[in-house]
Amino acid sequence: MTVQDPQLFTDAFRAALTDAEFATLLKERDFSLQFVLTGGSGTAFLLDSDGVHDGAPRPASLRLEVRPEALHLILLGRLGVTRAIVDRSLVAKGPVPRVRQLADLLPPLGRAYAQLAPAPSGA
Amino acid sequence: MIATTTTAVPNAPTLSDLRALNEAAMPSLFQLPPEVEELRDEVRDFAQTVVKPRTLANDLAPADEFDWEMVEAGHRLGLLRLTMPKDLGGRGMGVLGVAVAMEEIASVCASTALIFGASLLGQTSVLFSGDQQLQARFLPSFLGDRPVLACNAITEETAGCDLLIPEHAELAEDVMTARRDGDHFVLDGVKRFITNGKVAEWAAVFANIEGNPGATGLTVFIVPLDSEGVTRGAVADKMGYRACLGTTLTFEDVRVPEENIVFGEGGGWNYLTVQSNQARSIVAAISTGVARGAFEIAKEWAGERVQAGKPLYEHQFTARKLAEMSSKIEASRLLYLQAAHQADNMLPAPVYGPAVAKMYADRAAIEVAEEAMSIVGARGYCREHAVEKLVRESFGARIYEGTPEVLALAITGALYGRRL
Ligand SMILES: Cc1cc2nc3c(=O)[nH]c(=O)nc-3n(C[C@H](O)[C@H](O)[C@H](O)COP(=O)(O)OP(=O)(O)OC[C@H]3O[C@@H](n4cnc5c(N)ncnc54)[C@H](O)[C@@H]3O)c2cc1C
Repeated sequence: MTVQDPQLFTDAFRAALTDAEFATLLKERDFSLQFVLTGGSGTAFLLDSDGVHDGAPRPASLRLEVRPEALHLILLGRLGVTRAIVDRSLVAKGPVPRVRQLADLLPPLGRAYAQLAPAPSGA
Repeated sequence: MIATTTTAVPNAPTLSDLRALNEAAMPSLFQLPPEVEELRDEVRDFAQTVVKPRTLANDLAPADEFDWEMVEAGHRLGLLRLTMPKDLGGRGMGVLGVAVAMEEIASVCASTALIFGASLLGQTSVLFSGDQQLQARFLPSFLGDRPVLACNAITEETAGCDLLIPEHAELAEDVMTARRDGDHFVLDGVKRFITNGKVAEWAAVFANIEGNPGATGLTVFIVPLDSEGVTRGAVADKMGYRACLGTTLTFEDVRVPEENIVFGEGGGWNYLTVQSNQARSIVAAISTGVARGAFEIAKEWAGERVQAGKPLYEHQFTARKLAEMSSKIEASRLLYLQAAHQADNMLPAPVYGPAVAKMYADRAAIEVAEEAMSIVGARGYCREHAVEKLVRESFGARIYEGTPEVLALAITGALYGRRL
């Protein structure tokens, strides 16, 4: 699988949801994330405490329109969310305070993703 | 002869006074959040009771006098930490809250609004970066008893609009340089017209990393203004906006640690466009406030002043002027509210909305202030009249945070889906 493969993200996020603490956090905060991968496939999926769903089945707390390469780096902790926003590889649509809350949600997603992500090539 | 009766028509809520609409059970597409309404009440009271009585004195004072007492009163209200999140001790407001607050202050004094607005803008990079180390070093001073100001230093002698149009980065000349020296950068250059530059504790300074052509290496540095090599120069003797001090800041071999960089080396342009798109809704609100302040004076005068046996507003030409002024204020306000709402719900904020709001509101402020002065007549042309000051102030916002020409490039670029 390559970084460009959306399934890598959905598999990782499903794995993250097996961590009960993470699922509870999403539920308690009533937080759902709509991902739209830009710059190619346009794949969309929604993450909430119940699972990862294809497409855009319902409105989410935050919609993240993000380049797959940027999402890859964000999840691995190599690119900050605000830096990605400033360089426009990520557009976050939804209340700004929700964007700040990503700081609590990304680490569990990142840990799950790191298990599946392809090893960095060189750099 | 046709018999006529005069019936009193109750004051209808305006189109954009969202609370009045709500109270009158009039339909409205949107409402302000309760915390923003609350803030508006507090700031309106501050503007009317603290700012308004001092506004003419501050306007007529020598260019370099600064009313710290007034700023302190605003600080007690939390105006200098308006956008800091509540968990950091701030008031947790977004762009909408700031814009609504700025309209209130600008309706009596745009330059006072800009004192607070420019300081908030200076803080934006540190806040937005999420860099906890920078936040811990540069934000706590805004939480103390004493008012502390920040500023934002972009404009230079040779580079004005060139530093607001990313596509012109390569063309900018003689831009302030930042030369690496170990784990520090050495800043050299001169910034012009920096609001709060005379009185601020620190500045967000935009400088070009040495070796990059023009301003292509634009980078944001947080620089304490008591650093060795910083000189605060003369205050510009401006036509308006006199309560806020626009100053030349000279940087000679100023050493800044690399950890004071926000958004990384070369991150200045990307950040600047994000910042401008947020700030433009707020400046549109300032222009709306100027228009509203001038309109309120004209409306009152046109109701009292009798010529040819009836109040001015009953004369058809004046009635038309008042109606057009009112329409322009409604449109300006609806535009800035929509643009600010977008900025609070989209990161980065879109280019189009804030630019349209600012372009329209800046022009409307000039037109409304000019008509207001004409309605007031000779009295309004005199120094001690509030409308005279609003006329002078109405021209200011057309210059900072994007002239109409800069905004036109942003708007038309957005229409064609590219950067001009
Ligand atoms: C009240 C006030 C407060 C300010 N506060 C600050 C502050 O806090 N920090 C700060 O950094 N600066 C501040 N400024 C400065 C302000 O941002 C600049 O004045 C502004 O960017 C314009 O630059 P300039 O004056 O050098 O004009 P120039 O860039 O020389 O422009 C002159 C004219 O040419 C037009 N023009 C320029 N380039 C183009 C183009 N490419 N296409 C078409 N027309 C063009 C402009 O629209 C303008 O009409 C302030 C200014 C004022 C009036």
